Amino acid sequence: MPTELKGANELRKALKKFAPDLAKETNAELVGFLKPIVKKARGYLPSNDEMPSGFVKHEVKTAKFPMYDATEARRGIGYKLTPTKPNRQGWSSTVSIHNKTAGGAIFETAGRKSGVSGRFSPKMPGSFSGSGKLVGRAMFKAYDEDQGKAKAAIIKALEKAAIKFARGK
Amino acid sequence: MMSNLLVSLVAQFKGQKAFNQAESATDKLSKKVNKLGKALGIALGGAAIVKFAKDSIKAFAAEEKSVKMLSNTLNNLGMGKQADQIYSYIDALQMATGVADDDLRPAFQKLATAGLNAADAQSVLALALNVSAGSGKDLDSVSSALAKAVGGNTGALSKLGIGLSKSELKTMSLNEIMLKLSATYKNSAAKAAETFSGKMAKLSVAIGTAKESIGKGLIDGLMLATGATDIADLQTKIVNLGTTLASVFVATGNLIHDNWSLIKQLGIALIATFTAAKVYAGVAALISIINKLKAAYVALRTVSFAAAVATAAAINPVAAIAAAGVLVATIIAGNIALDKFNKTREEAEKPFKVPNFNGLTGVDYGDAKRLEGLKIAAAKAQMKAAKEALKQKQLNKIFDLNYIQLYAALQGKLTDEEKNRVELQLALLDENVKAADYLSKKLADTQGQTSMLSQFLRTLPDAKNPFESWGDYLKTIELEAKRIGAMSFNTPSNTSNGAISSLGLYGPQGGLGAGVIAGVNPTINVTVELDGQAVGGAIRDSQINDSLSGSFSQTNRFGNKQGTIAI
Repeated sequence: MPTELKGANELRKALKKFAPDLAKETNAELVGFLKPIVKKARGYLPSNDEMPSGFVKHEVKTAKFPMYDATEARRGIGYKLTPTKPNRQGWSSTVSIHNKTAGGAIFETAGRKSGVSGRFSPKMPGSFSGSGKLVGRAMFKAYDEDQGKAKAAIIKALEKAAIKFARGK
Repeated sequence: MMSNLLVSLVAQFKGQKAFNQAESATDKLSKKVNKLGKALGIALGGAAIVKFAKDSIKAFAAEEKSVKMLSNTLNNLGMGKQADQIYSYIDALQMATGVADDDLRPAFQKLATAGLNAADAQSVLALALNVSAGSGKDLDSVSSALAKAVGGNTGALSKLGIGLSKSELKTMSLNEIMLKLSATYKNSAAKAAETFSGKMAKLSVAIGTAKESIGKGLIDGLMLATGATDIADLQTKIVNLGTTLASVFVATGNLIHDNWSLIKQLGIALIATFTAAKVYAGVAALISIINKLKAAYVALRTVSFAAAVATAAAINPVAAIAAAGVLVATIIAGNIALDKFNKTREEAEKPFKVPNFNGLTGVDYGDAKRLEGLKIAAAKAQMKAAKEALKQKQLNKIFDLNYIQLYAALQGKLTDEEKNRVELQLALLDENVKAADYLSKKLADTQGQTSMLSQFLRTLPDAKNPFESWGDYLKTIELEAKRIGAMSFNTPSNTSNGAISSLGLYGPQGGLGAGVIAGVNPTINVTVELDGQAVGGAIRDSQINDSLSGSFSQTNRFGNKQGTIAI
């Protein structure tokens, strides 16, 4: 579950506008906490050789099912420091990590709901980790293994930035 | 398609979208509820019952009218005392045959009017029913024809086509006609009544009768309920009822209109609370609305509805019951809603931990935020003003002569350079710096190219004159001619056979004679022959031949000069 920080988006906007140096400093700090998770998550993505051959991207595409390409999938895992659009429940993520590519997302979640059975998901390398809806093989696993340290550090960094901004530093 | 896998480390609740959706959902809900209400009003509110009641009253009205008319006729014909018996007969007849009393009464009335007494009219009516059932003609036509026949006019009977010819009708008496008809159509009505359709008709008659009775009962009931002594009184009461109901509706409408914003807020607040029940901010915002609603609700409960119901009750008890029902439902719904609000607020306040984020609510931050808001508002206003000015300018353009002329010029045939110039002028008028800059550069380039061409043409070397050497050449010829002209030759005397000079033949300028060179005396003997003959003989022979062939030749002395021949 994300932690709600009231006014976090406004703070980031205000920092960018009125204290750009502080904004840059804060961003650098946040990036420092996020990069290790992203790097770890990318590391969990298997190479093309490890994946079922039919799922790996190849020249002749026979179906509309998304294909996996290790390079693309690695590039698809990243972080975001700007607020996302509010979802249907009205929540906007201020700081988030994502797994954007279809192939990467399939590797992340295949077999999560209906179990690792059948012809496809058992062939996926790696193992699930995480809890609740945040269960996966790569990004969610990396986030789970972080044990919330990055989250706490990010909240602390934002609070620190808010205090600095309020004091006019 | 982009996947939606995301780990949100820090998030914020943006209420705006949810509230908008809530508002939209409230509106939709209210519309749907309205529709549902209408649907329920029709389906469950007794639309069918209302229709039945209406039909019953209508049937009763028609019945009453028909009875009154027959009763009046019977009275006028002196059969008033037998009226009850006649009505009973008609009722029995309708139950037996399945023909409605609404049809039987006018038929009986026609027969009675034709001069038949009650007993005869009943017999003839029975006959008419048989004929009608047997022939398929409607009872009204048959009874009319029979009534006319009673009066001595049998034409209508013949037209009916019921087995009586004109000659028969003329020779037969009324009794004979009746006997024949009763023999022909004996028991037709009874048989018809035994068929399925006859039975259905009987049922229909029974329902119709029931309707008439119910209609009578309804009207009697209404009269009793309203205390009306007659229909006119009932009419007044009904009008009053309508007025009362209208006033209740108006009061309710006003109530909703006056408190619409509160009602809307209530809907939004309810949905927002359900959507984000644990959000402290949302609940905090609701508290003020709840307080407002409480006050308004009390006012609604005590003043508006109560007043409306009291008024209704004073005028009409039925309307008061309806209004009271609405009031009760409203109070219950309102109480439930208020309880829910209070519970939600308490629940939300208890477990929710307000995040320690004081930095964001400081004075400086507030000022900065406000400043930012003001800046954005100022920028927006500036942009709006600029847009309006631009629009105004565009409108002014339409009547600006400069623009008109320039646009007219652009329509004509222009060279590229001229077109550039006109466009540049337009750009300058428009104060379009970018376009003006571009066009001026383009124009300068074009001009530069023109001047370069001019320069090139100026520096081109002269073309070589092909006739340049001709002068010298002609001068040389002239000198040579002069030299030759200066030469002299000696000409000898003419000899036999004719020298050229003696012949005096015209040759080139001066002839040979002119070419005599002084000091030179050459002797040239020339013998001229044609076809082996002397020239003179040859010419003569030729002329003779021509003349003989029809083409005359003339040989004249030319200029009286000897030896000159013109052919």
